[in-house]
Amino acid sequence: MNKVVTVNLNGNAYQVEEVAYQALQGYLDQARAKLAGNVDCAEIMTDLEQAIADKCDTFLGANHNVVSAAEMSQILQEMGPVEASPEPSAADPAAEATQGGPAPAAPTRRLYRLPDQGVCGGVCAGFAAYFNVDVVWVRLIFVALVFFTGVWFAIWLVMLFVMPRATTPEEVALAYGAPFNAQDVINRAKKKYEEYGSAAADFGRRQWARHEPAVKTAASKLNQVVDDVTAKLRDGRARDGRAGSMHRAARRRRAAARARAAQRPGTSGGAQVLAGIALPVLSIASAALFVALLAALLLLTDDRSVVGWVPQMLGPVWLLPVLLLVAYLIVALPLGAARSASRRYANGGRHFGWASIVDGLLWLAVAAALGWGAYEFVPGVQSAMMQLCAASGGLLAMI
Amino acid sequence: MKIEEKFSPIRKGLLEFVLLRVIAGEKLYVAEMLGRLADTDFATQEGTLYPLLSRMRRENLVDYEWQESDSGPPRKYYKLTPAGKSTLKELQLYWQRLNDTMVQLGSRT
Repeated sequence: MNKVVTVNLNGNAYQVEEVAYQALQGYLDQARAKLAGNVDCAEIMTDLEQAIADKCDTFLGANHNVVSAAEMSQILQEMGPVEASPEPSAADPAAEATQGGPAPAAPTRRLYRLPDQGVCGGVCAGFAAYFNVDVVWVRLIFVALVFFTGVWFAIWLVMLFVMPRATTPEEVALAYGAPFNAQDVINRAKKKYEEYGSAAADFGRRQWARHEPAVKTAASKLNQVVDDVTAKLRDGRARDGRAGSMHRAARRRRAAARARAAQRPGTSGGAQVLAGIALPVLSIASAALFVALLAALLLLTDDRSVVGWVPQMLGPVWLLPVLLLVAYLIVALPLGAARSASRRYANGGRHFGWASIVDGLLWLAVAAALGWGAYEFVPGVQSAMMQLCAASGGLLAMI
Repeated sequence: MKIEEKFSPIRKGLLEFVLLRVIAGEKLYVAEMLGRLADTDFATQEGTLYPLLSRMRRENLVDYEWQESDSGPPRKYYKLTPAGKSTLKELQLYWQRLNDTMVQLGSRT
């Protein structure tokens, strides 16, 4: 008595003894190894499987529905070992081009996280390196996906834990699929150091230039106050109460000046960077919210139901749009305030700057993309839009 | 060493020529080709034939079409392409030349 394994041979189930199964598995594995690098490997494997299936059929009958080990070994012997057919000659360049062949120079790529290149964890950077595209595209696509379905954020989290971190230079090289050699690593490190070094120096200089006058005035004021107070203390010791309050006021002022003097390049630079990160997130959220409001209002005009929810029982017709608007404002107002604040920070304190332009464009782009998405994919929005257009057309015609 | 073993690499090299000859007559599927060759010196097996046919198809010498069969799944019937036919002609001429050379060399000694 032998165990029986069911195998799928080119789409049909066959029952074979366990030993026969192992022999078959070994034969197919060997065949696949021989055909590695052959563009038609999959097709040939299918052909072979079908041939084996045909041979099995000759053995199987009404009272015999399992292929025995002996039968399988006979079948495989008939099949004969798979031989890699000699490759097309060099005289046939077209065939050779499609052939490709095993290029020994092509190094393998691995999917690694690249925390040093990434914003947060380096998942996107790892994918960008793996697919050899600019990381910006990966991030844009990822952010767009997150906004369409939040599942992608969960996927990102999983990736964060599942993808191994590229810690050694060899692993970083593998992530890019670049052949690893010492000179490469040195070059990369050098380039990075120079980039970061000059960027940091630039940043510090700019920040210092901006805050230098303020710090200097604060310092001179502080000196003045200290002189003032010491002088007053010196000749006014008798008037205890007043001197004490003066002293306290001076201390307060000194503390304030110290706080301002402490505003060296780093601190406010940090705020600017933070605002730079927060700003696109806030604008995307605000654009999404806006599109959601528009879509909801449109759906209301359609059949007074927001995605299957029937609100007729909720009172007069005008109530729902108003409620919707109020809900929108409750979320949108603080969001807008945060957005304008971070826009100001990102502009480096000014009301208008590059950050405003980029932010505005981003908002428009996201709103347009989401609007298109809602128009295409949310049932009802399209028809509501059509109805609205028809109604306005009718109105115009009446006028 | 037996003569068959000595000629094994030559038979292997000639297999492509042999297949072109076999398929030239009529459309055939692999099992039929194997059947035709089974009793000849060029008897071969699926393990060799499928990769070889795949390569010949890539070189545009043969092509196949699917045809329903009475029993089992549809089969791939192979036939020569125009390029395959002209290659076969060249090969036949070359074979003739080799043969002539052999005969001539023999008659000289």
